[in-house]
Amino acid sequence: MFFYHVRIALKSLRRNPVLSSLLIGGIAVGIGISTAFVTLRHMYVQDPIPGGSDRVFYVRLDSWGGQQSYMSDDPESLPDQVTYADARALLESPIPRRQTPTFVGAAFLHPATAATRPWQAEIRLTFNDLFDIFRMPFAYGGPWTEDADARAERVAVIDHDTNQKLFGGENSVGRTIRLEDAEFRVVGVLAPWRPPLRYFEMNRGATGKPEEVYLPFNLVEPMQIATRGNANNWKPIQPYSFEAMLASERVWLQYWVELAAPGDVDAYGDWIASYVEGQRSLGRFEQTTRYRLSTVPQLIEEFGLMPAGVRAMSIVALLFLLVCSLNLIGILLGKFLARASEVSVRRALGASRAQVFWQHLIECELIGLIGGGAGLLLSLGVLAVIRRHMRNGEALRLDSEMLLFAAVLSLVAGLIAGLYPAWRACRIAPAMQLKVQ
Amino acid sequence: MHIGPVVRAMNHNRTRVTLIILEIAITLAIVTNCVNVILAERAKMATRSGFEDTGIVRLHTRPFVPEFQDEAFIRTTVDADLQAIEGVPGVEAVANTSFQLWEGGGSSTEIRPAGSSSAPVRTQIYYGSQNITQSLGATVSEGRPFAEGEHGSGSGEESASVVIISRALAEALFPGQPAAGRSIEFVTGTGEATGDPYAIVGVMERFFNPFGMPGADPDPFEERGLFYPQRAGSYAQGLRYLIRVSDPGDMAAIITEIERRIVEVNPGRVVEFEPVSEKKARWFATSSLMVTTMTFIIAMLVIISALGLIGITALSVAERTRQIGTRRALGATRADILRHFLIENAIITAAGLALGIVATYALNVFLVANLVDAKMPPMLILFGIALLLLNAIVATLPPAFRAMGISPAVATKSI
Amino acid sequence: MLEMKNIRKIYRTDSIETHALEDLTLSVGTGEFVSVTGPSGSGKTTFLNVAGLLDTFDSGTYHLDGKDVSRLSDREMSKIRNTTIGFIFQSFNLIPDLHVFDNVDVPLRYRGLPAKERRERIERALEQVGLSARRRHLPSQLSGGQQQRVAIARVLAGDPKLIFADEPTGNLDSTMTREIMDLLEGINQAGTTIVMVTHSPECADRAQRRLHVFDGRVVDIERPRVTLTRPAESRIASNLA
Repeated sequence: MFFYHVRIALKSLRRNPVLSSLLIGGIAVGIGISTAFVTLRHMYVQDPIPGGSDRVFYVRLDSWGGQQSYMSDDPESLPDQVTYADARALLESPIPRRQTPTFVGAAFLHPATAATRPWQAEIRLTFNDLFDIFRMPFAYGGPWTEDADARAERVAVIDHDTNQKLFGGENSVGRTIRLEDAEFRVVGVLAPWRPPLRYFEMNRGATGKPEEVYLPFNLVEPMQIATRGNANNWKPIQPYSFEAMLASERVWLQYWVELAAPGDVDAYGDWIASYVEGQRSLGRFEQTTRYRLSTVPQLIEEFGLMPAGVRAMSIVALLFLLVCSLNLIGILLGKFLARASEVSVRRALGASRAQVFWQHLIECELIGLIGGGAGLLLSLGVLAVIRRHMRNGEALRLDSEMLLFAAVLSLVAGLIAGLYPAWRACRIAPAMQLKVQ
Repeated sequence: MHIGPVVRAMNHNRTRVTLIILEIAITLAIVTNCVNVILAERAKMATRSGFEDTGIVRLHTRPFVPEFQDEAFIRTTVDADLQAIEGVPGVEAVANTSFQLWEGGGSSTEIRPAGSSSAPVRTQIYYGSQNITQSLGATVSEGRPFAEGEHGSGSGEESASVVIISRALAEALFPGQPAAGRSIEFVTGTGEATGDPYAIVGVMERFFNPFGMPGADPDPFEERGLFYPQRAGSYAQGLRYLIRVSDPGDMAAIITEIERRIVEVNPGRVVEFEPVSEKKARWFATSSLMVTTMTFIIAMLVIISALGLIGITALSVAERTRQIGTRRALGATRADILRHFLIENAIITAAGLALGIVATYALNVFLVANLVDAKMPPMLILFGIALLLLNAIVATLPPAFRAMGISPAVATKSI
Repeated sequence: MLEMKNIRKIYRTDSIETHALEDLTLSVGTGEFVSVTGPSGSGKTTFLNVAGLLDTFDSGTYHLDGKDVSRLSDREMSKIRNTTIGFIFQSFNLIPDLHVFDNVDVPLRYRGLPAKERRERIERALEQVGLSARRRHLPSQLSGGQQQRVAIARVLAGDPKLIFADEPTGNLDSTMTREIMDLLEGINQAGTTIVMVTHSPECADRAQRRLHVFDGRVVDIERPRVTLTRPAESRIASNLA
C-alpha cells in the first residue's frame, strides 16, 4: 500500500510540474539556508573533545596583584593564563590523569633542500599529554615518551602540511628537521586535523590553525624559547632577562588538565586551593585565592568565540523555512480540494478515510524529501559562501549529524505543510461531490 | 461598505484567513528584522579606522639569517629599508611601526597627566618612526608630527621622550583643554609612575583600532592611541612597516617594486605584504556574510510570500466562482466584486500586519539578546508595513481582476 | 414586460460555432406566469441568460420593461438585475459562507438601501417563506427545500417586477416541489411576472402560458389546458409551517 501511495503521489506531482517545482523549490531554499546556518552554529557547539569535554579543564589562578583586578573594569576577572612558577607547581599535582602547560613560539624552519625557502613556523611547546588530551590523530609514529619530556630531548611532532612540504608526505619518523640552527628528530606526524577553534589557546586568534610543530615543554629553559602569544604582567621585569621573566609574575602559559572522572574536579580544586594558600604565606596571591577550572565549551562561551549573529542567523533561517511551509499549506490545500471529485470517487470505491489521509500526507512528505534533497545541494553552495568568509571555514562541513538534521527538518516541513490539507482531503465525503458544488 | 458580511464570511474560511495572517505576520517580522540587521552591520562596516584604509599596505619582513639577532644591525637595516621604500615612485609615506590595523588587538598601557595623581587612563600604545602619522594619512590637528631625529639616528637607540596621541585620549586626559605641550607619565600595575615624563607634541584627530572579537561592543579604548618615536624590530617579531601610496590603483605594481628593493637591502628574510583594506574586509567577514544572507533571505521571502498569497487568493476565487456569478446575477457590478476582494484582503492584511508588529518586536528582542546593537527603529516597521502592503496588493490584484471577469451566467450553469 | 425579436446567440470556439439561439422572438406581458420547456441543449438556459441579462446576444432586439437592453452598459445591466429582476436557481446559489439573513441581504446591499429598510425587507421576506426562525443558520444547515425558500426570500426582499426561475424544483422531491410551486403562484398572484424554465411537465402545467424551445427557437405556444384553482395566502402559510 505504501508504494502504491508513493506512486500515486509521484503521478500527482508530475501532473502539474510548475506548481510542483514551486513547492519543492520553496522547501529547498528553506532547508538549504537553515541547514547551512545550523551547521555553522553546530561547528561551535559540537562536542569539542569527543568523550572528554566534561573532564578537560583550563586552569586559571588569581595571581594578579597591584591592588587591581586583571581587567580593571571587571572585579570578577582572572588572569587568562598562568605564570611559569605556577605552571611548574601545578605539574606536581598527582590528581589529573593528564596535564600540561603549553605556549606558542615561532622559529624559522629550514628545509633540507635549498630549493624551498625557509619559513617561520609556529611551534607549540608542551608535554606529551597534550596529544592525548585533545585526541590529536597521528598518521605516523606518535607522541614522544615521558623520558623525552623529562630529559628535554630534541624531538618533534609535525603536522600533516609540514610533513608534505618537508618530506613530500612520506613517513618521516626518525628523520630530522632544522629549526633555526638546532636539529630535532621527528617522532610523530599528525594526520590532517583542523578543529574549528584552536582549543589549546583560545585567548588569542582562536579561529587559527593548530601549530605546525610541537616540541617538549622542558626545552623552554635550555633553548630560551619566548612566547609568541599573549603575555601580561602587573609588575615590571627589571632588569629584563630570560631567567628573570621565568621567575616573574608574567602570565603567559596555558594550563590544561584531564581528570580521570568529572567528579575529581572537587578534589583537584581542593588541591589548587591548598597550593594557593601556601603561596599566600610567601606573599603571593595578595588579593584573592580564587581559581577557575573551565571546560572548552565554557571557554568558548566566556570568550564569545561564536561570531555574534550565528545563532540569530540560524533562527532567522528556520523561521524562513516556517514561512515556506505555511505557504505550502495554502497551495496544497488548493491542490487537494481542486481534485475533490477524484477523492470522492476513490472514497466511493472503498478507500478508507485513513488511506486517503495517508495518500495525501505521503505526497506532502515526498515534496518535503525531494525539497530536502535539493536543499542539501543548495546548502553546499551556501556553505561554500560561508567558508570563504570564515578563517576557520575549512573546519565547516556537513557531518552525518547535520545530514540527519536536514532529513528530519524536511520531514517536519512536509508534515507542517501537509497535515492540515491531508486532513481536509480525507474529510471529503464519498458521494457529496457527485451532486453539489 | 460590506464589511460586516465580509468579516462574517471570513469566519467560515478561518483556516485560509489564519494562514494568510500568520504568513504576513512572520514575513513582516523576518523582513524588518533582516533589514534592521543589514543596516546595523553596514553601519558597523562603515566604521573607518580613522586612516586612509584603501591606500595603506602592511609590510612584514621576517628575517632568518643570524645577523638580525643584533639590535644595532636591525636599526641600520630599518633605516635602509625606509630609504629604499621612500624612493619607490607612488609611495606617499612609510613608517617602521608596531601598529597593525584591524588585528583585533595590539599593545596597551596605562598613562596619566605627568605629576598628577588622577586615575590612570588605558590606551593603545605603539612605536613608530618619524613619518608614522603621514603613513597613516592621519591629520595632526594640534601640534606637529614627529620631527627628524626624534626616532633616533645611526645604530643608536636614543629617541626623544615625545608622544603623539589621539583626540579621544587627549579628551580623556585633559578634558576641554589643549593637550599639545602637556606631558604624560606611564603608570605600572601598582599605580606608580615609571620612567621619565613624555611631552605631547601632537594630537591626531582620528584613531580607531578594534580590540577583541569582531562584533563586540564598541569600547572608548578603541579610539585611544599613542605613538612614541622609535624604529625597531627583532629577530622573532620581524621588521614591520606601514606604507601609504598616493593611488590605491597602483598598489600591485608598487608592491612588486618595494619587494625588489627590500630584498636588495637584505635577502635573508621572508617578505609579506597585506593591504589594510583586505585586512579590514576579513575583520568584517561575519558582518558581510550576514548582509549577503539576509539580503538573499529577504528577496526569497518576498517572492515566496507573494506567490503564496497569489496562490491562496486564486484558490479562494476559484472556490467561489459560482458565488461570484450569483452575486453578479443578483445585481453586483464588476466594481462591487473587485471591491469585495480588496476589502477582504485589506482586512486580512491589516490583521496580519498588526500581528506582525508584535512578532517583529518579539523577534527583535531575541535578536538583540543574541546580536549586539540592532534595536528596531519604528521607521523600519513602517517601511516593512509599506513593503508588505505593496506585496499584498500586487499579489491580490491578479486574482481579484480574474474574479471581476467572472460572468453572471455562471450562476445558471448546471453542475 | 419582455419583448424579444429575432434574438440570435452564437457560441464560438476555435473550430466550432454553436447557434444557441436562432431568431428567437417572443413577448411576455406584465403579470404573466410563463413556463419554458424543451429538451436538453435546446437553448433553454441560453434563453434565460439572455433574458435575465446574465449574458449578451449577437443580434436582434430586446426590450425589457420598456428599455432597449442592447444599449445598456454592464453597470446598467447590473442595476436592472438588481432592482427589476429576481432570480431563482436550480441549485439555489446561496452563498455558503453567509448565514440566511446575510444571504437575503446580498442584493439589497448592492442596491445601497439604508440598514433599517434592509432589515425590514429581510424580516418580511423571511416571514413570507416561513424561515424567520432560521435567520442565523448557514445554508449547509438547511434542507434543499428550505434553501430554495431562502433563495425565494432573497427575491421577495428585492421586490422585483420580473422573476426568472431556472428549474427551481430540479433538485427537490415532490412534496418540496409542490411547496415551492405554491409559493411562486402566490407571488405571481401578487402581480409579479414570472418566467420559469423547467423540464417537468407538472410544473409547466401550473403556468398560465407554456412556451417550448427547440433548436434555439420558440416553436410552440399554447394556452394552459386547465385553469388552476388559486390557493389562498393562508394555505401557503399553512403548507410552509
